[in-house]
Amino acid sequence: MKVLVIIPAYNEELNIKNTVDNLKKVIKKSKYNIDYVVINDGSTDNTLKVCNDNKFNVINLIENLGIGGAVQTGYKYALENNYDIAIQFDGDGQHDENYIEDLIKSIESGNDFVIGSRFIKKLSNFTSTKSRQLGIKIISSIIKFTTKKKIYDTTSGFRAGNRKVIEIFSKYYPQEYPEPESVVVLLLNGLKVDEIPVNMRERKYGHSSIYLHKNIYYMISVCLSIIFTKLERGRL
Amino acid sequence: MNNRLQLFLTIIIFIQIYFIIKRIRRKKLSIRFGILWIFFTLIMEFGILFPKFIFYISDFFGFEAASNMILILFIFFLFYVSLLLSIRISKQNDQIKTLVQEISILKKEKTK
Repeated sequence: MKVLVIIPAYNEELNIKNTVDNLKKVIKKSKYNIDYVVINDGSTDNTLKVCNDNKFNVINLIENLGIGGAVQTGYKYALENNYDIAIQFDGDGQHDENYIEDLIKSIESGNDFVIGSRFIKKLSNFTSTKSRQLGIKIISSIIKFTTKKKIYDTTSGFRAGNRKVIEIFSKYYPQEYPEPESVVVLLLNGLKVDEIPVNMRERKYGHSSIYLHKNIYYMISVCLSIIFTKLERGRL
Repeated sequence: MNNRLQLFLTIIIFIQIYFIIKRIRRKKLSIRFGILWIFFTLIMEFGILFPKFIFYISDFFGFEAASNMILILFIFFLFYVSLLLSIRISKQNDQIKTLVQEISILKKEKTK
């Protein structure tokens, strides 16, 4: 089993070293064969320099593509290099690397796609605003309505997929706010999706890419994309 | 519409067509969009030469004034062109995305 951890990073010069160093510790201890790749999404700060100075395995996108395009690059890389499992892992240090093995185990037990969830068991004191929780709940119920499957943490970016998922996401991966729609694509294509509890931390430096004033646009965009995906029956 | 006005507008139309064709010839404009714009310009010229026809059509459809009909037709046409451009841009975004991804992966493999 070859496992690839995909780490998209946009202007994460302060976080990326810690993230990868912590990840490397887990990789060393693990019984699984885990590699990682940082996708530098055309950062305007020193993210690339930090990666090169530390000899990290990095793909440098020659133009900024946004989170969707960056993550998809990782999936394409995984496809070309024959990885069996791909794991999405944020470059900002929010995701806890100790749960990577849990995700792999869940895939091994027969799931196609596993989401690291903040909500199904309280493992962290992860705080988020009321409006954000409401938003996640609305997206969750739309996914339930369109796919008959309850996903609690629809916006989690800490996820693992097997070869089938790598193939699908290499072909199609949503560009803007990709997490909820990508799950719907997998469900409508008949893949087995599950959630396991994980811990998430507060980010150390910088700010999240989802701003408050974009929330309404975010909701409309995500809801419509899910509905359109449903109308197309998940066709790629 | 008097003859002087018709002549004046016709000259403008010909200048327009000249610029469109010049751009097509220099490969600055694809033939697909060039035909669209030339076709639209010729329709305008038709209206200039035969204003009675415009009045007839607008009466037939019940517009209060022929200018209202022309305005609404223009809006529809421009709306359609903008939509066409949005579709093209979306497609090109996708193509550029694929290019950036493939080139970046290739560059990485080269340095390995």
